[in-house]
Amino acid sequence: MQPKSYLIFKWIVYALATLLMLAFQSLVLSQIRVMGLTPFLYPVLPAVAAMYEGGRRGPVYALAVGVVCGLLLPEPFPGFFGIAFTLSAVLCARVAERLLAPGLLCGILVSAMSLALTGALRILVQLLTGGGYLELMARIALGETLITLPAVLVVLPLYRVIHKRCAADY
Amino acid sequence: MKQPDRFGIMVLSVAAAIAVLLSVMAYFSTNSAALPNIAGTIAAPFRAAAAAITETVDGWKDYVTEFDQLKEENRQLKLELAEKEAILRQAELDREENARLRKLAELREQRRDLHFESARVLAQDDSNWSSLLTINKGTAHGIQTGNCVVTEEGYLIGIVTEAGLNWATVRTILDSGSSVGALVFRSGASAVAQGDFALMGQGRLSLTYLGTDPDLAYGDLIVTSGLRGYYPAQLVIGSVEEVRSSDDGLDQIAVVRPAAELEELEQVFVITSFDIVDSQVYIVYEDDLAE
Repeated sequence: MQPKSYLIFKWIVYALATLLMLAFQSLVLSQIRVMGLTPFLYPVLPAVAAMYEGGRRGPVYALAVGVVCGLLLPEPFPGFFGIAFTLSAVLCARVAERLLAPGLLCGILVSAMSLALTGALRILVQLLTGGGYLELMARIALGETLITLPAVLVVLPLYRVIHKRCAADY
Repeated sequence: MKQPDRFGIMVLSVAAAIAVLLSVMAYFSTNSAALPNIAGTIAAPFRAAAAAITETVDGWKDYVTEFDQLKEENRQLKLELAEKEAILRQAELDREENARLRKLAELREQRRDLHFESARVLAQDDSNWSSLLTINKGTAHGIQTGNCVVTEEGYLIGIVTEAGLNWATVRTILDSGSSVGALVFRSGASAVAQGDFALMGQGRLSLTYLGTDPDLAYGDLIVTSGLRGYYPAQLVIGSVEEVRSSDDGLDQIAVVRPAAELEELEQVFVITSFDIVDSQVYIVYEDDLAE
């Protein structure tokens, strides 16, 4: 059992890293347009955190990030990001526990999974609410996933340092 | 391995419960639900700082890359201004004549009282799935959901869909959820200007409910109809770029290029209230007079 102060410290650092990544998205990534699309980093954060922190803490972090994103960003329905990110984190943690050891390859895989899952859920909601164009939406989801993946290289080292350093300090 | 799975399902259930709670709160709120309002109010200064940084960097970039282009544009604008001044002088004479004739014909004077609240754009939507803006004014400044947002030239940008204390979300006319009553300025034909998911990425919107044989031409100006009084009339939406059959082939739709440059917005104006009086012509038939 880890001491409570350790957990508090670690999650404060994670929260600060999340804020840094939110700033990175709004100041840098939102200025980038590739084939008319903008990278969308938010689904990557819970995926990478779940990869390092596992199936218990990962989904809780994902839920918190999802709720914050939902309050600040437009979403298909209230609480959408909370559900999408938590589901992503549960699946990503399983991949990291059973399929690939946490690292660069696993990080890219879980990030792609999380982006694709968020996109797929968006398409599903859009279709259920009557907005058609499945092919176009699938193209947007795929494009968004591909152009966001290079940004994973910024998130991975940061979260890795937090995970390792916090573990080493205690 | 079973414990984390059960735990995952538990967290997912919490996420679903939060979604239900937020949906209920959103359903019962007029301008914005309490939690998004608080979050938006706290985030507003940070968004303003981010917008200021982005604007400064863009300013430097523009200074370096667009100096020659701006010089040429400035020259063109001076010429255009001279032409417009001549038109304005003529318009002034016409206005006086119009006032005299209106008095003779005993018509009510046309009036357009629009009350504006200026605001700065804090953020453009980061996602590729919608077209929204966040501005730095909210209910504290008299902004309500349903208010129209225009550029300084009076071109329609969109409608306020959510208003917090010091922020508001604007759904632009490109967003697939946007729908505004419209008129073809030349012919007076009514239609609906709708955001279209397929056109949104190209920065265009569609004009629907045109019928099978619409009287439309390339470049036709599209303005708001103002029907039912929800939005002010005669706000410029854009111009027709293409007329084609709808997906089902039963109807014609037009592709409209917005007059406002939606990606370049920094300052916008929210129409917080309006009072428009159009002229009313009372035709009195001789038969009626005889009665």
